[in-house]
Amino acid sequence: MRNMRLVLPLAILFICISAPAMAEHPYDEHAWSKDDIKVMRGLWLSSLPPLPVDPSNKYSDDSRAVALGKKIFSDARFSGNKQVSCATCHRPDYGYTDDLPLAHGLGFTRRRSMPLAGLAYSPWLFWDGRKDSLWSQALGPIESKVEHGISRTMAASLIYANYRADYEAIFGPLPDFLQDDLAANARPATDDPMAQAAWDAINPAEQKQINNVYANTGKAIAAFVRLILPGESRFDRYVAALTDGNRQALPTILSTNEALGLRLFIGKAKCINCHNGPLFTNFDFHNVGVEPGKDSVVDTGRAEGIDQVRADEFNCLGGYSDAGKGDCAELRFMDPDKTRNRGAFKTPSLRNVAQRPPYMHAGQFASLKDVLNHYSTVKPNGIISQELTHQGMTGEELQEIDAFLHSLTGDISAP
Amino acid sequence: MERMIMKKIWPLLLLLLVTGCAAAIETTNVPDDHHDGTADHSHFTQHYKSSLFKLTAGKGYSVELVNAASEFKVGENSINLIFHDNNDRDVTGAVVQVVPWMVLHGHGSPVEPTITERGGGAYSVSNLVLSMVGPWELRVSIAKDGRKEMAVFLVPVGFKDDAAGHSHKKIDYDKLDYATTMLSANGTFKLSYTPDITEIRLNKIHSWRLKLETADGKPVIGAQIRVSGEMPEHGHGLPTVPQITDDLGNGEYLCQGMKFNMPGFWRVFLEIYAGGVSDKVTFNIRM
Repeated sequence: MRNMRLVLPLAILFICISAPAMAEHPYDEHAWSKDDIKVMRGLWLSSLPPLPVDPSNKYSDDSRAVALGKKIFSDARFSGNKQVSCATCHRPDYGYTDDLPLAHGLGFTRRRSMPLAGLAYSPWLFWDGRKDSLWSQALGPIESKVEHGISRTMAASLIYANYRADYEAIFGPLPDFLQDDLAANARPATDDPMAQAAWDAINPAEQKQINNVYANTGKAIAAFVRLILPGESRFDRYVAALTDGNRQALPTILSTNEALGLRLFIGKAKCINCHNGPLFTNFDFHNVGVEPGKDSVVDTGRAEGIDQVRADEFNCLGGYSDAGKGDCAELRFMDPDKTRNRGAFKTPSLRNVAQRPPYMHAGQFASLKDVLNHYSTVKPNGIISQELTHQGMTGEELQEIDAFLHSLTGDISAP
Repeated sequence: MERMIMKKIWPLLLLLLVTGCAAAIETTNVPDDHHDGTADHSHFTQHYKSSLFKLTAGKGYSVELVNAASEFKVGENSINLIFHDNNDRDVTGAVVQVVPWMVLHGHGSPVEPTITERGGGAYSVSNLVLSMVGPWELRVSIAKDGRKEMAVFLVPVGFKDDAAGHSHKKIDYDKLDYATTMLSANGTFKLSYTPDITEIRLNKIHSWRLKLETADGKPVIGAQIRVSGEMPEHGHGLPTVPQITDDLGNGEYLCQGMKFNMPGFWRVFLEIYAGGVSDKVTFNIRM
C-alpha cells in the first residue's frame, strides 16, 4: 500500500526522463538489422575476391612484367613532347587520376582521367568501356593525338632502344628491324592520313611484329596497374568491428552522421544500386542524367564504346590476346543496345572518392556536394530508369551521405 | 514523513513532465524547428519526416508534399501541400496550381486537380488523377503578390510488375518461390538451373547449366531457348545478353553470359520452344 503511492509519480518521472531521449534518437544509429549487415559485408574490402588473372594476358602475374610495366608507366619518352607519361594523368599522388575536369596530355581530351585502384576487377576500361582489358587500355592513350601522341611503331622503337634486355627476358627476342630508322609516325589511323600511309608502307609481316611488341608493352603496363589496389578504410574497420560483435567500438569508428549516411547509402538513397560490391561499383554503364561539361559536346558514352570494343584488334577475341574462346564471356555476351546505352557511363569506384574531385565523365561537378545535389534532383528523360530517382532527400540527409563518403578513404598500394 | 516527500516530489515531477514531454513532442513532430519567425532565410521547417520537401526554383518558398497514403496509386490521389516563405512563415492566400506530367510519355492528367486552401500554409490537392504506372512529375506552382514560383516533385505511381509496367500488383517477396527448379507457365516443361559458381555474386559473369524435361521427367532434346530477365522494381533488364551456347545432350544446355549487377529482386525468363510447343519458365532470384 505504501509503495503504490510512489509508483505513479515514479512512473511519470521515468517517462519524462526517457521520452526526450527516445524522441531525439528514435533509433540507435549503430544498430543494424541482419539484412543491413549482409549488405555491408558485401561492401567490405575483405569480401573482395582474389585478384583476377586476365586470361587475355599471360603475363598478368609475371613479376618481371610488373617491374618493366612500372618503369614504362612513368617514362615520358613515350610521348610526342617527351613530357607525357601514364603518370602524368594517373598521378600516384592523386589516386592515380588527376584533378582536371578534362584530361590533358599533348592537348585536352574530352573526358576526365579515371582512377586506377582496383581496375583489375573491371571487365571494361574507360568511361565508355571501349577496351576490355587493362593491357589494351594502356595502348589507347599512347596513340591518341591529345594524350601521348606517338605511334605503336615509335613505341616499339623506344622499347628496342631503352628496354631491350628487360623486354627480351620476358617476351623473347625483339625483331631486328626495329633498330632501323623507322617512320616514327606510322600507325593505323582514321584521324591521321599520313600516319596511315606510313603504316601501309610497312610490310604485313613487320606490321604484325610491331603489333606484337606493342601488345606486349601494354601487357607489361597492365601487370603493374593490376597491382594498384585500394586499402582499408574506416568503413571497412567498422564492418570488421560489426562482424566481431564489437558493438562498443562502432561509434568510435564512424560518427553519428557517417553512420546515418551509411544507412541512407544502403537504404533510402539507393546508392548501392550501382555502387555495390567491395569496390563500391558494379562496373556497369548507367545514364545518370549528367549534362555535358561546358566545354564538351554531347557524349553518348557506352553507345559509342560498344562498336569500338567489338572492332578493337587488341580485344579478348583478337589475335594478340592469350585467351581461349571460352574466356571472353563479357565481350561475347555484352549488351549491344545503343539506345539503352546512350549517355551511359561506367560507374567509378567510390573508394577514396573524397580525395579526388572533380567528378563525372567530364568533371562536371567540383565537389561531392554537387554530385549529391544532382542525384537528389535528377529527372527522368526517357532513358534514366527508375532506380535513379530519389524521393526528395533533405539537405541534412545529403550532408550525412557526404560524411559517409569521406569514410571510404584508405591508402592505395602499388608495386 | 511520506507526506512530506510526496509534497516535494509532485511539483518536481510536474516540472519534468512539462519540459520533458514537451521536448519529446517538439522533437518528434517538428524536427527542424525555427518556427518562431526569427529563422534565417536559408532555413525552412519541414513538418513531417516522411514528406517530400523542396524549395521552389527561385528559392522563395518551401513546398512540403504530404501524402497520407504514403504511396501514389493509379487513379485518384489526394495530397496536402504546405508552403512557407523564406521567413519560414506560413503562406496564405496564394494561388496554387498542380500540373501532373508523365515525362516518359509526354502527357498530363485527364483531369485538373482541385486545390483548396486549408489555412496555416496548407492547401489540399484532391482529384489528382495519375492515370498510369510509372514516374510522374507534379509541377507545383505558387503565385502570390505578383510573384510566381515553381517546384517539381518526381513521384513513382503504382508498382511495375513487369518491364512493360502492365500490372499494378505489389510483389510480396517473402511469398515467392525461389526454387532453382520450376514448371513452365502452362505446365508443359520442368526446368532446372545450376550456376557454375558456388554462389551467385553481384557483377560476376557466369553460366547456368540447364536441365529441360517434360512435366513428367523425360529429357527434352533439341529445344530452342531464349533467355531474358528484369528487375521489376526498376523496369530494366539484365546487363548482359545471355545465350544458349551449347547443347550438352540429354536435355541439358549451357547458358552463358548470366550476370546480375544490382541488389534486389530479379526475374529470369526462359522461353522454350520444343516439339512444336512454346512455353515460358520464370525463376525468381533475390540478390
